[in-house]
Amino acid sequence: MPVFRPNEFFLSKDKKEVIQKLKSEGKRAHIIAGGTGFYELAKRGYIPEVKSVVSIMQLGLDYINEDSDHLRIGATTTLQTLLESGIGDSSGFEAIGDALREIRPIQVRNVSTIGGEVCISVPVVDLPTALLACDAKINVIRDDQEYEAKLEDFYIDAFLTKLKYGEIVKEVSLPKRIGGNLHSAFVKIGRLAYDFNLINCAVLMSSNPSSKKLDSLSVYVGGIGRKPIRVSEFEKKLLGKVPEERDINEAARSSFSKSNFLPSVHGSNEYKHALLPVVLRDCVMKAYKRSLTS
Amino acid sequence: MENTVEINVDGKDYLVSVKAYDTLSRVLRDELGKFGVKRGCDYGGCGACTVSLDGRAVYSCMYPVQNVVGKKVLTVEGLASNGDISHEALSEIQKSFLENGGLQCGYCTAGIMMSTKCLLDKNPSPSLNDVQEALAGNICRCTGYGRVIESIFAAAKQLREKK
Repeated sequence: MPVFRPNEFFLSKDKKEVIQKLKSEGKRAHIIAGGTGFYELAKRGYIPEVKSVVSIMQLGLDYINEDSDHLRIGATTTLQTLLESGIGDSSGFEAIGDALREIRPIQVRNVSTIGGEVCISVPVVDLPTALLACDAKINVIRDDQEYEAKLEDFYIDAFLTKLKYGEIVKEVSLPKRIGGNLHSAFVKIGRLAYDFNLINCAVLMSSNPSSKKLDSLSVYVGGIGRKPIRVSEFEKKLLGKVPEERDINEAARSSFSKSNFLPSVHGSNEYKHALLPVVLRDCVMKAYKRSLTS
Repeated sequence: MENTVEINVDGKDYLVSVKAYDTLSRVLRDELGKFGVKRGCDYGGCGACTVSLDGRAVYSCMYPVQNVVGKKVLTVEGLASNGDISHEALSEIQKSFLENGGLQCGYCTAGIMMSTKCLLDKNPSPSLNDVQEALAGNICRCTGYGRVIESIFAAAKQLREKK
């Protein structure tokens, strides 16, 4: 296995310096935030070519702000800080709270950052699925500019995002229009309480107060593909109905019958096919109960 | 390439020479002689290396030491008063684990005590669920956790009465 032996740990409070460093070093540099994901990559020999470890922890990106339209969470905000902020308890963003509580243990939540969770782009992490359901966007800094992108468009493949050399994710933003009668939920199945996921699911929905039927539904699933996917075919089968277990099982079965899921040593394609209806049912019903009781 | 960094550990400032991607546990043990910080899995899974960083429990085995600059590290060796190891100088947490049988081989104990310290500093009256969540990152193969949890509740009670 290749050994990770960088020459340099670059730490600066100046965004321009950091960006310049990343641009000039190209693939020889790698951003580190909290370092939990970075440690996995380094220990497993995935980044032997990296000679400069570039820390973004002193760039002042640990914040949670809001403006008229959005909640804005700085990229180096830790998951525990985000959990303690209470954002995940508010209507529409419950999936984020659910996902944060499922990311254990606290030693990891105290160090992992939202930026790292978003950028590592591996199928086994949890927060991106919840953020996708809540229609998150990312703001990226490049030279003197910033640009915004939908999180959904950010992922290309496992370990591959659209981030270019010299770019840093500055913040994750959540639209405040998600609230009111919108409710969300996140469910995960892993081998252990503090494990990575085998499958996870996040749902955002609204239901009609009188008919109780689903008015809107978006469902994302992680762990079955190389990146989280929106399961539109499944959504269409439930829209306009009162969700019931029988319908959810049938929708899950018929939407994925021909799919090959990402296998791992902990869960084969067949095992994940068996798990998926359970996860979808639990997640949809969790969000639906919240929509009924609000 | 080595850097010299200043880190604060157990109330003292130290200047240490570190490599580019040194972990906090490596520096604490090999440079500062803090052998109370244990190396278990070295993979962020067992919790034996847990220390407090600005009051928050972290895995020192996967924490880059150069991110520690400007923060305060507390190890199990800093729990007792002035580093004294007589019984009177031990912290309430350490006394409670001794008095309630909260350890057997003891290898996980340092990490568990640091998780306990971080929990009780923030939450002096934890519920059983709070304690279980706080211990989720500390693996113990010996005790079955029963006496560990009893020790934590006993320590919490002692600390509340002391205040």
